[in-house]
Formats: sequence, structure tokens, C-alpha cells
Amino acid sequence: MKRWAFLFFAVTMPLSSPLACAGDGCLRNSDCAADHMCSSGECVLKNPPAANGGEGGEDSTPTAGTTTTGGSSGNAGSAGTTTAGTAGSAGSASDAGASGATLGGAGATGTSGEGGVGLIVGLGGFGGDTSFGGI
Amino acid sequence: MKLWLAVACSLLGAVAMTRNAHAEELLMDGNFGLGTGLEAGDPGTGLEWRRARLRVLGGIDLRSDEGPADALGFRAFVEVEKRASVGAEVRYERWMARNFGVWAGLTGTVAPETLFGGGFGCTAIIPFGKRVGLFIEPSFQALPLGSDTPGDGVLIWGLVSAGVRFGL
Repeated sequence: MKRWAFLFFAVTMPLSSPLACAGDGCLRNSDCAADHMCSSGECVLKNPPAANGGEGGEDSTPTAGTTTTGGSSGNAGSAGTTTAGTAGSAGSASDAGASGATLGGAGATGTSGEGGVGLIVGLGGFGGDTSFGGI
Repeated sequence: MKLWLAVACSLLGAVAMTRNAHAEELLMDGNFGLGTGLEAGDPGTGLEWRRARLRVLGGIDLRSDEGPADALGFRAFVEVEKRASVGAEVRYERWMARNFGVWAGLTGTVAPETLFGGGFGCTAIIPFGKRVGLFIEPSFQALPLGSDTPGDGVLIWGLVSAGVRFGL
């Protein structure tokens, strides 16, 4: 009986110690997920995302040029009805530019309603950062 | 003539009384058990202690019948907490008594990260019959090499293992 008691104590003592309640911190790299590593006691990504992610925005600049053209067309449309000023948001900058160019042409034909639409879209393009470059 | 007859009889008798020579036999003991304990290391914030991962271990001890006090032990283990890791150990054992021995050896893990080092410990056996017993094995190991230690730190294990030992 003493043998069993000794064995039970020897096995359960380490398991039941306060240290058994380990926190979320890490001590070994294998404590973390496969794509993480242990650094300063915490799991961090092995390959964090690149810090220069803003370059993606610069890529959209050529599209902004198209948008600028759309904005000019929208101004032509402003010769139509003034209700065009209540326009809401346009879609993406490039879409607004394309639509503005098309509908602006429609406004030049003298149809006021369509001209208003052209202004709407033109403002939508104006809302983008790239429209400033165009103006 | 009498002399030669006496010599021949003596030789014949000597040869007849000799036993066949026994080849050296290898004695094997198997082990299977569980282990845990304390684990320490420096992840960059100073030395930290925590409970070591629970491990399942198994292996064999090999020794010669001509020198049963010396043995070579092989162990394989699997740490079954968090990301399971697989490791192995090879050790030289010196049995001071029938049921007590000390050992030193090399240990490490090979997957999913590598870890290598060495350590020492002792084994006490509580016999249950001639071929079966329970073993309790405290050990201390330091593992400075491998990809599983953050930075260049040393990982320290203070473990207690227990299980069944049986003759093969």
C-alpha cells in the first residue's frame, strides 16, 4: 500500500502544482502555431506583413486620371438641372470617371436631366483623392 | 606406458567435465510510462518556469549478462500537450543495485522543432514479481541547441517519469 501511495504522490505532485496552470505565454517556439514563433514570451507571426502596404494606393493613381476626365464632363452637365447637387456617393473613383465622361457627353446634347446625372457622377469622382490631381 | 595412459585419462576426463561455453546474451527490459515536471527557459523576458508538457514515453534497456550493471538505454517520447512533439533519448546506465540505477545521456526532439541537449537522472524500481515492476525516474536535462528555443537560450527540464518496466 505504501508503494502505491508513494507512486501516486510522485506522479500527481507535479501535475497538481500551481505551476501547472501555465498562462498563454510561450517558452518554446513549438508552443505557438506553425506560422508563429515565440518572442519575448508571446507568439508572433514568423513573417509579418510588409510595412509598405501603401504602395497599393499609388497604383490606383492612373485610374484617378480617368476619374479627373469624368469630373470635367460632370461640370458640363451642371448646365442642366440643379438637383444634381444632391447627388449621393458615387462608386469607385474609376467608375465615376467613366460614367461622368459618358453622361457628360449626354448633357452636352441639351437634355437637362441627363446633364444632372453627369454632375452627380462627376462629384462622385471628385470625392476621391485622385480628383484633386485632375483639377 | 603407464605414464601416457595416465595423461590420456586425465585429458579425457578434463575435456569431458567441461561445459559448453555460453555466448554472451543480451538482456532486454522494456519501459512504458508517463512523465512531466518543470520546464524553464528565457524567452526574452528573463528565466521563466512552468510545468513541462505531459509526455508518453517508451523504450528498452540493453545489457549483457556478463556485466549486468552496465546498460544502454533508448527512449522515445511524445509530448502530448500543445503542439505534439516527438523526441528520443540515448543513455548510459549504471545499476548500483538490482532496483536502483543512475544514468546520463543525450536527449532531444526532432519534430515539429528540433531540440538537443543532455542530462542525467536515476531510476528506482518497485518490483512486482520477477519480471515486472514500476519505475520512478527523476531527471535533469539542459537543452541548448535547436530551433525550439527562442533566441540562444537554454531550455531546462526537471522531469519525473513513472511507469511499468518489464523483462523481455
